[in-house]
Amino acid sequence: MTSSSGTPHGGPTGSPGDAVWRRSPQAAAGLGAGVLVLGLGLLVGRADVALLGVAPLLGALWAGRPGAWRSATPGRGTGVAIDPTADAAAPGELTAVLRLDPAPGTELVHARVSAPGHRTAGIVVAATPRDLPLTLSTVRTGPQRTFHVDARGYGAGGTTAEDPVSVTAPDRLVLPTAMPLQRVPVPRRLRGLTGPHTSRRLGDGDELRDVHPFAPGDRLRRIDWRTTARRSPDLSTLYVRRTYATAEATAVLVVDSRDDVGPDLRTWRGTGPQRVDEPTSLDLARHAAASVAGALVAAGDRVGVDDLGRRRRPLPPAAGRRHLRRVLHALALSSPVGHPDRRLRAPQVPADAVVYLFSTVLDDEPLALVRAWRAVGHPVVLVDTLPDVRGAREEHMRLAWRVTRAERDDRLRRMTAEGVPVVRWAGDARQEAALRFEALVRADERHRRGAVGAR
Amino acid sequence: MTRSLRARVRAWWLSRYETGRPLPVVGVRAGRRLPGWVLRAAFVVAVAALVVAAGARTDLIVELVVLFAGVVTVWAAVRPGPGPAHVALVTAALELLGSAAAPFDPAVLWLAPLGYVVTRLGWWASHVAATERVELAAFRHGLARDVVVVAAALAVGASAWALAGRQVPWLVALGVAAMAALAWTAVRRDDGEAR
Repeated sequence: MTSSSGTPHGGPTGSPGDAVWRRSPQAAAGLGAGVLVLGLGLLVGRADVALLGVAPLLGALWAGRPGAWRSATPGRGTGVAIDPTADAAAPGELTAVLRLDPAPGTELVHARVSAPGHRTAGIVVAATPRDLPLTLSTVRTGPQRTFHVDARGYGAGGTTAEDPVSVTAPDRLVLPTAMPLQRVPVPRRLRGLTGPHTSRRLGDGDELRDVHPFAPGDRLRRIDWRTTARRSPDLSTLYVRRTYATAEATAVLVVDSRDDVGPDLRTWRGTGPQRVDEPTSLDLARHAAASVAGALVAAGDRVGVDDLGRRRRPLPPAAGRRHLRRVLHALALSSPVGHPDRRLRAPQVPADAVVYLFSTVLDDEPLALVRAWRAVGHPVVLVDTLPDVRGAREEHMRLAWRVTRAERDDRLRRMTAEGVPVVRWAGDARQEAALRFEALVRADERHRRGAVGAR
Repeated sequence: MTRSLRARVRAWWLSRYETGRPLPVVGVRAGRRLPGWVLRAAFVVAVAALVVAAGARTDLIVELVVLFAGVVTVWAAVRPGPGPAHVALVTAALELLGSAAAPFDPAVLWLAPLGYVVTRLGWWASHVAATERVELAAFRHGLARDVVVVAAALAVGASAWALAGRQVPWLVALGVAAMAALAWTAVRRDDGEAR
């Protein structure tokens, strides 16, 4: 699922009028060698030697070809354009169409197509107007730079060449995909007058609370005639079945986009390119948040989004499929802007909302935020989005990672000890995330039943 | 700090295969294609064949021919392009000077097309990297021109063969005039801009 955005790295079309055609080194070498061999043959009076130079000389001097014997140098450059509005691609693929429009007189077009995190592909095609489908595979989400094409036309026999024409495709916004989850934890205190969950209030619902004598305000259809006949055969008192009202839950997804680290430690400094076939922590956070949001919206609950990496208004909680689309866009756009300052207070979330924090827990800030939310009564679920880190070869990196990992493990242990559920999302643990969420929901249900029984 | 070749190769290998797999390649869908390394291999073989075949027509010592062929072939393999292609052509011409079949060695009727093929393969090898692809239709697009060039050269060769061994002073004068015309053409076009 993608959408196109602006073109900050160049235009999607190459201007054919700007190109300049030049005589190629091949023509100069052919001319020089041909004249040399021909002259040598003439000097020594050997026609066979001179003949060796005829074909290269002819090839260097003649700019025509059969059908266009006196063809001149093309008057314009090769028109190159990238059309990103291609057909729907498979999941994990981005597609586009490279449109080539060579000038008359061009014999070949050489195109080199590159993309960040990919090896460059080169192709030489005959100079006819045509479309070449382009594809690249990536598991990354969010704003993505895609194709860059350098194309160059060659005249007859490669004797002339135009200056390369460079074209960059517009950036694409790759929305995160969602993994199906059954049930996810919701807050114990629900809000609203309707919704998918049973609240503790009396009202319209399915779950029976008790049988009570009829009172003003009770609806007639609520009268339980069997109970009335058993308890009051003379019908002096009518009995009604009272039920719990339904309500909806509110959840806020807080994405810690301050870190965007991959499995390769060497890229953590932000200098090396990250592989496109390995999700980074931010990709995992987007995927996890999209999955939780999908499960909540499917259950009829309200979901909001906040981003620790940028100071902007959070997406307020709402329900519905259209809002889920807004949530996915907000998640795809979540990325750090500059170097985010340390927050003095936790982002405010609506009352009675459960907070899902998606973080790598590489520093102490998530710990402080979780404590602040829990102090005001918000249940918090921490989703650990650090990818499975590969061991580094360099000794200093190994040492640094050992220290960092020990600190991180200590933070996670402290959170678990404080009663914060931690769900790991990277690697094989992601497959067990649905079971982990279900276990949390069941544990919460047991806890509620125990509390009601105690009352 | 200058890194050694071994360190560079190791860094390249690690950057490429650190995860046990290379980076994915951008997909470009086209017709039937030929990989670029085939063109490079064909160029190296053609260069060696031209120099050795021309050397076989002479009375030069074999070691010298092998030396010429080896140097030019290695050059063609390491840095393919118009340089080794045309040097191989000039080397073949120099070797042909020592042919025992003077004044006209009929072998030039197949050596000349081979020389032209070497120059064309030199162009392809220098412009197409080993991992790149060439659509077969691109070869067919330029084939007719190459056939015309070779046919014209062979027609000139056939005429020269017919006149070989005779004194034709006007032909020498014509050749000198043609050389002057070529030189003028080359000088006139030497401003770098194609016309």
